[in-house]
Amino acid sequence: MAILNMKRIEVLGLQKDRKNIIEYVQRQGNVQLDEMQYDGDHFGHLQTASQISRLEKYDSTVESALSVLTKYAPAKGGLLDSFAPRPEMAVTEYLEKAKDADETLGICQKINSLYKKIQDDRVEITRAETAIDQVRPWENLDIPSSFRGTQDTKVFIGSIAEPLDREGILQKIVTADPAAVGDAEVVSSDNNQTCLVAICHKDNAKTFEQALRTAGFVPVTDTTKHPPKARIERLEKTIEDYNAEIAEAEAAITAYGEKREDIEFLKDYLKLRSDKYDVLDKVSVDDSVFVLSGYVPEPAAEGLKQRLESKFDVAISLADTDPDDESVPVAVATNGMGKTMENITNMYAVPTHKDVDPNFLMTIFYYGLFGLMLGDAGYGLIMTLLCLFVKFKYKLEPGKRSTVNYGLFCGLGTTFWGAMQNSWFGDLPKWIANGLKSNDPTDFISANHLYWFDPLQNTSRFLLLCFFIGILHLFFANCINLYKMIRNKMAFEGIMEVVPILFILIGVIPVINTYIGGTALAENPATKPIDDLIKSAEPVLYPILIAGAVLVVIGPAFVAIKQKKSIGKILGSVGGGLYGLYNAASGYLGDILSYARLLALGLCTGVIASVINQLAATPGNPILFWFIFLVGHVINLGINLIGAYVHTNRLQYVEFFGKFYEGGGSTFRPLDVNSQSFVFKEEN
Amino acid sequence: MENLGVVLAILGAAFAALLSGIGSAKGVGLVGNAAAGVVTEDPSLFGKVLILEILPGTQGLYGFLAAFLIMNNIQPGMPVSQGLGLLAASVPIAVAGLVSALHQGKVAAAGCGLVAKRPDQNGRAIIFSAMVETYAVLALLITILLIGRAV
Repeated sequence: MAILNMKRIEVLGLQKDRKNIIEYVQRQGNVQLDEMQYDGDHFGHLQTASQISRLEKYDSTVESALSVLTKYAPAKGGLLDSFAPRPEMAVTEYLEKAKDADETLGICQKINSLYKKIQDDRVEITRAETAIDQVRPWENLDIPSSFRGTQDTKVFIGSIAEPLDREGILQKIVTADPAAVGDAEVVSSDNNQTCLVAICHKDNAKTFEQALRTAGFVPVTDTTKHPPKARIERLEKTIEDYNAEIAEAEAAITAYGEKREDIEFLKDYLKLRSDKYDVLDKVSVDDSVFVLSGYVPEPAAEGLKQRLESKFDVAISLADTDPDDESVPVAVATNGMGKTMENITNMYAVPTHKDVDPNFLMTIFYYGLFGLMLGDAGYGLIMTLLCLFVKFKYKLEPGKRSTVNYGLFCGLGTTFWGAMQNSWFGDLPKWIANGLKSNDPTDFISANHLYWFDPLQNTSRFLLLCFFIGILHLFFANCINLYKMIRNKMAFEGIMEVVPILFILIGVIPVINTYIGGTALAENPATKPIDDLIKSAEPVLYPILIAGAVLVVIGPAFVAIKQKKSIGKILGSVGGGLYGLYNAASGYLGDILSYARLLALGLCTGVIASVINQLAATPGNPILFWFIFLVGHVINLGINLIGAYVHTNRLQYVEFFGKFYEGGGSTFRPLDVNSQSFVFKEEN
Repeated sequence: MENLGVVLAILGAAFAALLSGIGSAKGVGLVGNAAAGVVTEDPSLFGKVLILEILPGTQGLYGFLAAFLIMNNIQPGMPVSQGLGLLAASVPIAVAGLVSALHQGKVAAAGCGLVAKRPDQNGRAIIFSAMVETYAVLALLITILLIGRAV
């Protein structure tokens, strides 16, 4: 558990082995490639841009095929199945499967074109439906709407934009021109328009048409060669055909569902290749040899060298890196508890080679702080049991294992502090003890007082506890800082800088107890001994506080003397020390107060949980009770989980890391296998 | 007028829930707008921006909590001084909740922009936003302590 030393590795190999060597290095997954440090123009670089863009195109084909498959043939599996381990695959098997890549890619293209066909057909169907809607009013017309009349008659087919019957139409025509003689028939009529056929004698046609137009008549535009009904039937047939085509295409896509595994493999295969191509331009080549160079963590270096030498004709050199060089990537090897903190630390900043690996040290407080903020034993138990279930049901891979462990430890912390605060789904035990009728504290847990404080009843005492935890946390952070400075050969400066702060943190305890806590600790028999202890230690603690304050002021002067600075500079550093005292006082005051969020968030969970129980009990119906209980607590747990997560991290980042952790290193990003559907079996 | 104390205390509870609720609603709404924009570009970021969207919602919860604590302390026929005390106790979380939720919303909305461009930085976006919340937490704390003193 530490920050690993990095070695530089350079591998000189033959061009014919290049592909195999690089792929072997990728599967080993512990070399971060970069360009060889080399002044000269003998070596060139590989051109990879066209390959990369081709792979990207393939990848998007596969990606869209997969999303189509997910739509028509969803992968089976429950919510927790994502924790299941990926199947193992031997390298030979991988190479064998990779031969089918082109075929699978063809399937992806087929799936995509089927899907495109479905979409095109849908557009056609919509178009046909619109056309039907337009002809629908003419459905009852038994002649083609392009019909213009017989030898002696003239026929007008069209519409007037108002609801009318036959009488109404004739009336309008006569009103327009009394000389217009003819007849009309209504085909259909609704609130917006009346579709009609009008007929007149040929000789009379001009007058009649004029009168019709005056009456608001508009001839039908999209005429039909056959009676409109025939067109509707034809369009309906078209829709049917398209639907059949869609069903066929959908069935074909669904049938490809069994190829999902192959397609997922192809996706990984492409990902492996594109990852490789992304760094391939860093490899130096000439006509017959290539040089691959990069960083490898020290523990893996020798093994990798031996294996490469035994498999290929290569010359390998390993060299130490400069610990002060900030461009050297940082790899952290943690295991056990510390592993669970890696993500949290990296979210803040990757450590540098000068830093103390904070991962394990964080765990000492992290889960307790989290538990205090979530602060409900019921919620804690749910988290714990869920994580235990996942842990034992599936053989977890390392990354997922640390996530599940994180959840498990958070759950345990929450259960512990929840039980201390007597919060089990809020005040559920009280309701159960009273048959869901009231929340009088008649239950076993309340009666036995397994806890010694209840945040709602003893706010001040709880607040004091939070501040004391904060002081411990800050004290610990400063101790780490002291260790770090001693290790980095700055022992004197470290002692002058950190020890006064430690003094102040110890000395401030009685101040907080007296001025913020008041009689809170003395009131309760369970906590009275603590109060007595602090009171009896006051004669020692107050001098320590003063000594700390004095040391903060004069500490910089000692450092200046040690560095043999001039008298003026030494006096100046005393002024700096005064400012430092102000900084320490205000800064640490703010830091300690910040731990009040432990109380606020913990209280929030518990009180809202109790309100949910109260609401659930109001209707007086057990079924309703459990229903409201379930919904309410799921929401409360969700919101407070996020709250606890965010604020625990904040305490880690701002209050804890602020004291000793620098970060800012560059992450070690080896060329490795980022597959989702399988893992490689270990090879020798 | 003998119930004036109770009325004042009820007013305090209403204030706490109302103002911090308004702040949270506005804050969450603001982030929601930004989050929806981010999700149109990249739906896989939904989980990350959702956390950011929820962050300014806690002030509403704090106000709710304070209102509930005040309600628990209301007794029929309580003196005007106690009612006024509870009303005054509600002010920190009501006002600080309103203002901090608004500003937290702004920071979180900017955080959505950060996540859209660099999804790996969502932890920092969360922390920026959580900084603002500190003051709501402190206000809630004082409200709780004051409720204890008022009765």
